[in-house]
Amino acid sequence: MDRNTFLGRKTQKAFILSLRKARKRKNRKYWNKYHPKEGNIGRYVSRLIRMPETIDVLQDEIGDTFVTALDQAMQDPSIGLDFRHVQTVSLRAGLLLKAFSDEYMQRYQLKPIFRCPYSEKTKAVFRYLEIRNYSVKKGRHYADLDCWHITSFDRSKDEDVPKLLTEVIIPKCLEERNEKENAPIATAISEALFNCKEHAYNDNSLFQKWYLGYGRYPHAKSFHFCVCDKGIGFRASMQLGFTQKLTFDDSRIIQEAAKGRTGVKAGKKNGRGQGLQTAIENLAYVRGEMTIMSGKGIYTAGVDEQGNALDRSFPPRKTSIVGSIIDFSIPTTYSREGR
Amino acid sequence: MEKKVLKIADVDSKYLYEGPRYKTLGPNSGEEFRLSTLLPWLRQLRTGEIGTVDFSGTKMYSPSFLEEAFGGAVRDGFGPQVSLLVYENTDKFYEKKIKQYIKDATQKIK
Repeated sequence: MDRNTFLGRKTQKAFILSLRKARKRKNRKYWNKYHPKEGNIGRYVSRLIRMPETIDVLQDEIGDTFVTALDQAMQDPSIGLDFRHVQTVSLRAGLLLKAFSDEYMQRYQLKPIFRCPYSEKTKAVFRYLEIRNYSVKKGRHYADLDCWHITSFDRSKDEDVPKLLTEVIIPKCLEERNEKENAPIATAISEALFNCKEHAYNDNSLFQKWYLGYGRYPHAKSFHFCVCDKGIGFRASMQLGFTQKLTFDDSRIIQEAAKGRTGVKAGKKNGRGQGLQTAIENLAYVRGEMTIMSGKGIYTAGVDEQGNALDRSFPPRKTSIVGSIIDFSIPTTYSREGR
Repeated sequence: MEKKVLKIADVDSKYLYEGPRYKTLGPNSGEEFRLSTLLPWLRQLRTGEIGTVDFSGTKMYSPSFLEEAFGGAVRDGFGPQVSLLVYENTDKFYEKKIKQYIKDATQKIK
């Protein structure tokens, strides 16, 4: 019997619609089964946290909102992050977001719940960081995004960091200078990366990755390197060297670590703490500066644009960063006097 | 007085880029250099010989590497020999640093 003769015209329409719905439902089931990591589909969202227009870690209020949102989403996988209104993402915030996404994936075997940004450029940032595969308009390039480079390191892998820095990473930013001129920069950055491997994670840490982001913005007079880890932070690492509980605030703890006061007075490890101090001296030599954020603390060292020595610990932030972020800013031209 | 030279770049090409402090942290470490190269070389130094460490050819000095190699040698009981070493073809800054590491390590073991 023909279907047209079996059903009335209205019933026939309803029948076709129900078939379409059933097909969609089936497709969705199929999709969820085979693509469980693809973002928000089929996920229960208890709350969406709206992200500020500019995402950065250093700025007080914006940084606090951003860091708190990441922490909450990490604790409760049903919390989503609303990136719809985000227009700008700084390099250090991008690295923190990348670290958050990787840790989330490792912990829950799912991608975090994000609301897709409206801004094409922010979409491109997410795509570039390999956090989300948002479609972006073909042929559109952003000069200040194309200059970013991200490298990740894993504690379980042995990598020749100094060679990688000297031969691959630094020449990408400073192609006009030779290896010898770049050696102090490579030394300072490699020290920060070695410290991540040595101090940031212990054997019990589930997530053991750290990231190096670097870039030289077009026409800028300086270039940036940023090292980000999600480890135990400066306080816990410093505490290992002291028998008494450290009562200083986080900024002061970073300052003490940067001056080589690690508390280890005997045994094979009594040379600890010299590395970061020498790294800062190397940076000062190339007129660069370093900002370290860990826990609630912020500390800046090096030399500013006017050539004045920097040694400043800031008042503690409201929220605490898990792990640490070390930001290097180095002018593209520098004086070689003074050493 | 006779001069005995340890040219780091000739020991192994891997020391062109000096690595981290400990073996567990990555290749070309200061600990590895101290145990496999520096200490055996220091043991062979005879009285009256001037031990010279030549850095020519090396491309990057890592402070942790230098501290673990030279400061670590002091902690291993080679303080008198290490403190008499002479350094060639290196930045004055690093020469000063190495001497500082040796001095600090000597003070801490006292």
